Amino acid sequence: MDKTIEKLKSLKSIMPDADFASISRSVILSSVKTVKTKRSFIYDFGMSIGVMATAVTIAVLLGNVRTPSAILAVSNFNTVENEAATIGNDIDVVLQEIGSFDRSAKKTALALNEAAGNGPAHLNESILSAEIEKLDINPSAEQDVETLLNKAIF
Amino acid sequence: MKKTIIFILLLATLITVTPKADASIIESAARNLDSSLNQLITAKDEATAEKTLSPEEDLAFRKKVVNDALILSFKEIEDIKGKLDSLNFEEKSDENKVRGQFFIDLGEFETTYRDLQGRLDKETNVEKIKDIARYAKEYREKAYGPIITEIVDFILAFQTDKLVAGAGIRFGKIETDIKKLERASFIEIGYFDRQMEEAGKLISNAKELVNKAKAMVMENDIDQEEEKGEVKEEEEEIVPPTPRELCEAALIDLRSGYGIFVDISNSVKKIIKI
Repeated sequence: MDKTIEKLKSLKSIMPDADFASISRSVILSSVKTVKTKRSFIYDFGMSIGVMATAVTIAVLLGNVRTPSAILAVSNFNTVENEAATIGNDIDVVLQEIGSFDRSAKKTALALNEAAGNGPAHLNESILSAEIEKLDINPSAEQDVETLLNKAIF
Repeated sequence: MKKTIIFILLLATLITVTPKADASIIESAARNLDSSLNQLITAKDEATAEKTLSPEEDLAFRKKVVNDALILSFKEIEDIKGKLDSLNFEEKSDENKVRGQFFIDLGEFETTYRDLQGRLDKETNVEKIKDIARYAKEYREKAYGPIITEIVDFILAFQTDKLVAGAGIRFGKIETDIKKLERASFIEIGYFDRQMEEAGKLISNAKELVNKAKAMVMENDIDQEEEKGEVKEEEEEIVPPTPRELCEAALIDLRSGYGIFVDISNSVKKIIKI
C-alpha cells in the first residue's frame, strides 16, 4: 500500500512531450473556434431577419412613420371641444356670480327695509312687484327685484 | 387601418365626462328670504281696518325676515371664504397678504352678524326688532357691501386670470398639433394660420385686460391711500372701467377664442373625414 502511494507521488512530475502538447492544444483550440463561428453566424443571421421583418411589418401597417404623432394630434382636438365646453361653463358661472352678489344685496336691503318700516301696507313696492310678476305669463327665472320695480315705475 | 385607430382614440376621448359647476349656496338662502318677505308683506296687505295684524304675528314675521337676511349674509361670507381659499398664491406674495386681510374682514362681519342674530333671538319688542333691521341694513350698505365688492372683484380677477392662463396653454398645444398634422400632410402648411392668429389676439387681449384688473384689485388694497390723491384731478371726467368690467370683457374674449379652437377642431375632422 505504501509502495503504491510512493509510485503515485512520483507520477506528479510527469510532463507531456512538447510536440504532443503543441498538437493537442492546436486541435482543441481549432475545434472550439470552428463550432463557435458556425453558431454565431446562424444566430446573428436569424436575429437580423427578425428585426428586419418586424421593421417591415410596422412600416407596412402604418404606411408612414409620422402618422402616429398625427393621430395623437387629432385625438387632442377632441380634448379641445371638451375643454371649450368646460371653460364655457366656467365662464358662465363666473359671469353669473358677478351679478349674484349685487342681486342679493338689493334683495336684502329691500327685505330689511320692509322689516324696519311702517310703510303703507296696500301700496307696497314688493306687493305691486309680486302682482306684476303674476301678470307675466312666462316670467324669466333671472327676473330680479330691480327689474320688477322698474316695471312698476315705467 | 389608420382611420380605425383615429376613430378609437376619438371615441375614447368623447367618453370623458365634462364636470358641471355646483349651484351657488347663496341661492337657497335668497329664496328663503324671498319667502319670509312675502309672508310679511302679504300679512300687512291682508290686514284691514276690521282685522288688523296681531302684534305677535307682526313680531314673528319681522323677526323671520331679519333672521333670513342675516342667514343670507352668513351664506355669502361662507361662499366668499371658499372662493378665496381656492385661489393659489405663494405664501409670501402680496396677493396672499391681501387675502389674509380679507379673511380678517370677513371674520369681523361674521361676528357682527352673530351678535345681531343673538339680540334678535331674545328680542320680544317689535320696535327693537325694527331697530335691529335698520342697523343691519345700514351696516350691510356702509361697512359690509363695499368690502364685499372689493373681495368679489379680487376673486374674479384671479379666477379670470387662471382661465386666461389655461387658454394660453391650450393655444400652444393646438399650435403643436397643427404642425404635426402639417408634417404628416393631413393639411396644407399655413392652412389654419389666420384662425390661429385671431385666437391668439383674443387671448392676448384677455390677458391684457385681466392684468389691468389684477393691478386694480391689488392697488385698491395696498396703495389705496397714496393713489387717491394722485389720480383724482386728471381722471375725474373719464370713468375708468372697474375690475369687474375688465374681467367680463376678458371672459368674452376667451369665449370667442375657444369658439375658434372648436372651429379648427371641426375643420380637422372634416379634412381627415371622420
